[in-house]
Amino acid sequence: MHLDMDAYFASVEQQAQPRLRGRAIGVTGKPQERSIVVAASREAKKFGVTTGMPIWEARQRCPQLLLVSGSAARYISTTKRFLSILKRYASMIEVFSIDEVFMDVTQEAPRYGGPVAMARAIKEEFREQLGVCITGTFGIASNRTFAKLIAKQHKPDGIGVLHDAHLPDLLRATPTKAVCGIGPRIAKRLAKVGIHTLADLGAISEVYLRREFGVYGLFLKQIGLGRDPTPITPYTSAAPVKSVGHSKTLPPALRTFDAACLVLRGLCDKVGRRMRQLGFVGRTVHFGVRLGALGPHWGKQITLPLPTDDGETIYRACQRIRSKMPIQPTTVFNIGVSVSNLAERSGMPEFLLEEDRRRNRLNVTIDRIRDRFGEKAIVTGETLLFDPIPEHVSGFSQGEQWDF
Amino acid sequence: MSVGSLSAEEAVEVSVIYRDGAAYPLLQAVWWRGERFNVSTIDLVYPERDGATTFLCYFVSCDRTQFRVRLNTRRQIWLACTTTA
Repeated sequence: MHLDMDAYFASVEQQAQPRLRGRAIGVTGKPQERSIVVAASREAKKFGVTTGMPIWEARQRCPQLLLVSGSAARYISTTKRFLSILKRYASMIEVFSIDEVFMDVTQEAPRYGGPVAMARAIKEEFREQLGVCITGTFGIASNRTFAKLIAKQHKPDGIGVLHDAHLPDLLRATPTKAVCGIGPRIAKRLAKVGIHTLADLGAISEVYLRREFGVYGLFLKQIGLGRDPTPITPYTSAAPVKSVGHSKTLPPALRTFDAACLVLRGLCDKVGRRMRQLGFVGRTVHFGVRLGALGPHWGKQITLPLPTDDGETIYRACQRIRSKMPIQPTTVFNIGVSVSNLAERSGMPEFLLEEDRRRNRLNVTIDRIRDRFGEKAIVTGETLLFDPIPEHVSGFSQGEQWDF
Repeated sequence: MSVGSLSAEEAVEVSVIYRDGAAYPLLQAVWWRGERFNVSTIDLVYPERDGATTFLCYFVSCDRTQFRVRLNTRRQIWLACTTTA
């Protein structure tokens, strides 16, 4: 069973403020800036407003569009509430995203008279506990990929069921790019060899797919046959952390390379802080920039001699990578940093040099100040050169913890 | 055009019920600028953190007026502002 909440952020805002109900709204970061629509209400979607659309374009399509500043705290809290409802119905729950969940209800569904009756009971409880505006669409199938596919076809506030008898028709009618796990580049590669639908994919030989796509080709073959053996990964067994990173799409005022590097300084601090919170140190620093909205991406990484969780050290590593760029760009659209090659901090020996011990004490003190007074209570001097920078490096999530 | 913008926050007095089994205290009434507003619907409740302080935030409807009411759980102060169309 797949649950996909409908126009989630927008529906939470409409639930919070009745004046917004029934109106075309777009949830955005800061409405007064050149930004994008993060989520559109059902009413706005009728005018063609979609997630990721620039505000100016959304307003062209829907002049009566109302912009609402998003609040991560509201959405995360509502997600926790609907997850606590779902936990009463099913034990195998995989949290796919803030508004999507996979559930294996093979054991529990018979108790409710079947998965459709179970979905209806959950919907009723959502209405009572969350409010009339916050709804979700259920997709029911024998595997996760097709449960998600069928849910998409029954939005909003629907229940879609895929019976085995209807599978061949669905495979013939579904383009490859409609499947989660097949991106536009793969779909393009498949189209070049005449594979446009899932039925085409199922008809092609497994040997060919494996030769062209490696192990991923086996997944493609299974999808083409209407199967997906991927199990539900319960939220209780978290995947190991392999890297910690942050990136930022920059507002126009900060798109020169020098200004972007000031934002980078804040991002490196954030990465360091998160690593300390998670108890990791890392050796490989990756620095990357995107040179346009759909422009090329340039990124390189270096491996440090010693592992670190210090933002200043990560920033200096990025500066070394920057110095090796073949061309220094004049405009940067997106800038990011990540640290991988992680190890647990508790297993590391103590710092030998006094400078490193002092730096560590400083980081611990800064973390305590931020824990108590907020993320913006203390920042590096460079990030104060432009007023907007602390806002832009603080990010949407504001340090929310994902504990259930 | 933007909506849902909030007026300036002010300290208020409220009336709440602590009901057995309820996830949050249930707001019954808000005294704002000397006037009592009875809460007809609690639209949304969620916690929000600012540093070490957790706020419990309510969006409530009092007939024609809508408020955002926040409890500073550290200082035990209730703050409210109206949401405007």
